[in-house]
Amino acid sequence: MEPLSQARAAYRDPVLWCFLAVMALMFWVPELIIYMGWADFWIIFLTEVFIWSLFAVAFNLLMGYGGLISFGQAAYLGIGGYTAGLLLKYIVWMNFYVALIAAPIGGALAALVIGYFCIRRTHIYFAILTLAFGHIVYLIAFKWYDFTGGDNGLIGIPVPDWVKDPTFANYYKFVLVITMIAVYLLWRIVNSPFGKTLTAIRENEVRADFVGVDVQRFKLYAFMIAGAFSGLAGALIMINERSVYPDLAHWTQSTQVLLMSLLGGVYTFFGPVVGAFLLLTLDADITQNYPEIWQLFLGGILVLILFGLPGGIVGFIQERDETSADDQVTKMNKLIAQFSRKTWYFFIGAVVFTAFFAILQAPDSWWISEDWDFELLSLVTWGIIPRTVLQAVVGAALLWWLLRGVRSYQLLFRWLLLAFTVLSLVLQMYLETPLSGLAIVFLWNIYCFYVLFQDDIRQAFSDGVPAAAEDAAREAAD
Amino acid sequence: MLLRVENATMSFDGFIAINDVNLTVEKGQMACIIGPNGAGKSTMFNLITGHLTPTEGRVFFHDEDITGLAPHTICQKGMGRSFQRTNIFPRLSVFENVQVAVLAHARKSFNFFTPAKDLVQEETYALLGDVGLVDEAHSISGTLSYGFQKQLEMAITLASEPEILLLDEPTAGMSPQETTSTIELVERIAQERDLTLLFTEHDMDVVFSVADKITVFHQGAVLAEGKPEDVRDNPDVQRIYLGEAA
Repeated sequence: MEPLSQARAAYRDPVLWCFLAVMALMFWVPELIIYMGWADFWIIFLTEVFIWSLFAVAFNLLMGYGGLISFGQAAYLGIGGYTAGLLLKYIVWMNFYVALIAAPIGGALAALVIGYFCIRRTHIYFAILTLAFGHIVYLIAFKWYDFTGGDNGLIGIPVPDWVKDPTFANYYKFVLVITMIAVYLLWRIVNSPFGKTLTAIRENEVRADFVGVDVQRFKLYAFMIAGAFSGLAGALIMINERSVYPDLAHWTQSTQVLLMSLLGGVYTFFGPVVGAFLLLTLDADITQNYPEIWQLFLGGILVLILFGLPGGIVGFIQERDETSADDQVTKMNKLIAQFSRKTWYFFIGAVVFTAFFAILQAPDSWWISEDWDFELLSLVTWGIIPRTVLQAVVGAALLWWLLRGVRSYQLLFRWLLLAFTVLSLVLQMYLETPLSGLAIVFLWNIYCFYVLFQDDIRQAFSDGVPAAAEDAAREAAD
Repeated sequence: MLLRVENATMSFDGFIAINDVNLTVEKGQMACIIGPNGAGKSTMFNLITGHLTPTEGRVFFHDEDITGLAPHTICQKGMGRSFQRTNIFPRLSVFENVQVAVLAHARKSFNFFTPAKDLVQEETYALLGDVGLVDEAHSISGTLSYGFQKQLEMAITLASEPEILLLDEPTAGMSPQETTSTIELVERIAQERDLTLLFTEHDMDVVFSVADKITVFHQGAVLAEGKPEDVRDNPDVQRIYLGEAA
């Protein structure tokens, strides 16, 4: 039963457990923020990141796994928010948790009704139908003053006292736990027979139909699951603000979540989480100083992603250059060559973007100025452009040498390269690069770790140099 | 009688693609439909498998009326089909391609929380073994060669344990070697699993070596039907179809 054990090993997905472990550690981040004296803003910010991550993963169940591109997903965000909000506001004895559970049920029921019509059409017709229904939901919230409060929204929604603590730490933790549970459930769903069948429908609907799959029913269920988790996210946003406005259901929110999925990677489970984090970070970094260029910047990023990284960032990290016909040695060499190439992309990206964000945040410090106490040994005082040039030159020389070692499968260089990326992160932290820049370097760290510690590559390193690699190394040395 | 089509007519906005066709396939038969391009072979397949509902006429499977049923329902009743263009799930692994079909057949698809990787392993590997793809189980199916993809499609089709196999041009676009090995595979599997076969084919060598009953379609109607020898000697058939080659 060799194949069986093989598949079992593959099932212990390290990415999921890493995610859950990181989330568990983040439980104490509010204490850290308070202890370090940083702004409370970051606690609220992270709470929003969690909620949007949940929303984006739910949305991506439709788009990435089901191939159903919904342009109206914010409708369920709104329905969840209003369901819980109306219950809490108008029913005096309403329990907080009951209202919170009602939100996903409301989202699922709305998705059942709307989905019943939408799934009868495919591709662009499906997308336009979801947009149309989404707008109907928005207009109901916007115009029905007696029930939803219209464009005034529902304000002053009663929430328990523990939500209202001045540092927002309690609610942060509450949202963190809910997001962990919800994302874990969604992960189980996409890896279940239901999820696999949904992916098959995405790949080839006609064929799926003729292996005996009731395609319409699967699509409707997927629509309802996405609606339920979106509704939950909507309720969490409502509680965070203790009010709910029609804007929550506006189509711009739907495009926002679409961008998160595209940015992070549509065909990956955690891509949308990375996308949500990156987009909100960029938003926070850039709108702070240059609110007027935010849209322009977002457009630029999107064009870059669609042309340069069509699989999104996580797709870029996970992509592996292999053909089933290759033998082991060719495969390893291809993988290492691809690693080398992508490491350069990451290096250039990290240098350019960290400098860019740093200049955005501190526009006066781009060059050595007289106001600065210039010290040769303190990089912070160098000004952003000079120090970036230095980083690029020294970094590139080091990286070139390290990658040569990696290409000839020397164990030591694998560790040195990893240390190099970690040191880059430490350096950026020391230079107080804005969060967006740190995020890019951090993704580079993850990339190196992810590739160099894949089972097969690790084995290639510890088994010594594969025969063909020796030649390649000799060529590289010549 | 395993499969019976009675007086089927299919018209698309007035264009009559199938005109009052009767067709029967008996259990264990190797039936073949031939005919020039546009004769209505693929439309006939689509009528039988539920992808189209005939304008008039009925389709019976095991003497049960299946006219107008959804394709997935007909599939679950024991009909398997391969498509003219290769029809797999290109971004899934070879294993997953077959597993999805096995799960659907075992009615285990509506399961939201059990990890799919633990389910129906043995059945899936057995099917991959039957078509000789065990070594490729973890490859992404879209990267396989054309011949392998056709073999994979066969495994997907067999996963629903069909009694009758409808193959639409199983050797289209194949090299002579691939054609030979595909036909050997089909014959072996049909024999091992006691399958009935209904197929369309353009390669006359294949048709006459495999089929024990041939139906000739011409302009949406049946022109001739019978044993291969009889069809070959039929003057009408020779005129419209074999005449081209002679």
